[in-house]
Amino acid sequence: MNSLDSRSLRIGDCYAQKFDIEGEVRYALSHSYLTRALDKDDFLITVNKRAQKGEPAQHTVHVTSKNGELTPDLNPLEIASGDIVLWYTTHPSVLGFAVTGVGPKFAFGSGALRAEGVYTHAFGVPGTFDWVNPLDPKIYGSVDVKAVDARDAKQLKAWYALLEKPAAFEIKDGKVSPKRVDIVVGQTVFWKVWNGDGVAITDKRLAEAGGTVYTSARR
Amino acid sequence: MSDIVAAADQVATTKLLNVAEGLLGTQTKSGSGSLGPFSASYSASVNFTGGSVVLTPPNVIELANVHLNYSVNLSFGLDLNDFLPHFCLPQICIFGFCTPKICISWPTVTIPFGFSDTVDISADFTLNPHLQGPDWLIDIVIVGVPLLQFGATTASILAALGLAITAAVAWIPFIGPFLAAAVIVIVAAIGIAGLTGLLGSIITPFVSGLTFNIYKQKQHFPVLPASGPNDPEVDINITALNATVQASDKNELVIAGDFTA
Repeated sequence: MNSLDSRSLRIGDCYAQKFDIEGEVRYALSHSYLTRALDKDDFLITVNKRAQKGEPAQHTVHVTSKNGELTPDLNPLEIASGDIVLWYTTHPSVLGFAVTGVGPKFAFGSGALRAEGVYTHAFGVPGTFDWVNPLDPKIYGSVDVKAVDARDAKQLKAWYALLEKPAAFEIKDGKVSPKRVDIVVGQTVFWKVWNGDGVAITDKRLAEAGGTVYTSARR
Repeated sequence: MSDIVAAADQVATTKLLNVAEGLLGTQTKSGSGSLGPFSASYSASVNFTGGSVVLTPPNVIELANVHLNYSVNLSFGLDLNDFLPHFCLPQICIFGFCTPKICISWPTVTIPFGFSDTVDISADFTLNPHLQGPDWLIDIVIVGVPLLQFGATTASILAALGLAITAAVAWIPFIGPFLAAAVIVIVAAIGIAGLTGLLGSIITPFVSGLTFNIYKQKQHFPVLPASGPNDPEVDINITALNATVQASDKNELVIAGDFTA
């Protein structure tokens, strides 16, 4: 499956969060929405003070599944303020995971994207995908994914070139820009949330099928 | 000299054959075999219709153009990694961060495929009169195994298989751009030879030893009912039954029997 759902990250999806506030951050990886409070047994990110001349870095966390338990390859993780942590999986047995975390004075999660949160999804099949934030139906958009037939080397090369071009939605002050993007199969779309109380990016059909209710964990 | 003799010409014998085909009904079989490079499991059903009889003395019955109607449901596993290129989503950078390069592992999928067709068979049969339980039977039994000519329709079956593969894997993320080329390669790997090879192994057992029962008679049966306490039922007991193809003014299937009252 290649579902568009930031609450259930699969192969081809990423969730990234920028951490500006120093301190201890705890997060959990779960197969579905986490409804419990986080504690010291959850995964740890320590956000240190940034050295004055240091550039922000990206820390990429690969999520795997061991005996049914979702596990990050980097834990504990030490970063500097302003750094970005990105979670993704390539593990076939990970059939969807969510990131839910809390830090000093803030919460974050793939199911409730807040400031400086990004969700990415590579579209694997053609079609028109209407998406919606199930927490606020006024936040919505559409992705039109064109089919590609790359049966010769020239077509394949042209397609690969297209795959390197991102398409993006930006969500700011409850508004989505643009409302629609046009891509081809295999291209990745980014959802960047600049502010807000929490945005989930969900295929409208999933939301209508009952995937609209969830509780994010807050300390 | 036999006690009773009956004869059927080619037209009548053809009618006996057509009735026998109906009585034989639909036969089924399941198993596994090679579909080109793939191992396929299948279930098949077969029935026979039509055809004509040519009687050739002394004992050969040639059946011509009997329609063998078959229906096959098969499935086979397809490891798409064998047919699709290694594919990775490239790294993309925007908003000050970069997605990782994500490589896709293609799954192994099961392809279900069903089709029906008809192949005509012509073969020599021999007569086999025999007593089985309380019945005398006259069977005709195929001699050897005829060559099954699956013919031009195998190309269309192969084309349909290509469509079935496309339908079965189209849901797989990111396969779309590779699909048309991959299906061509997969169908080519199976090929006409692979399909006819599997069909031959499925259908041949239905034909090998093929037997039609064209005549059945109780060994012991009444010919006159009882008409009173002193006039009991009269029964006949067939002690011998023979069948041959004989030449007279026209070739005939001759059934001769001996009986005791």
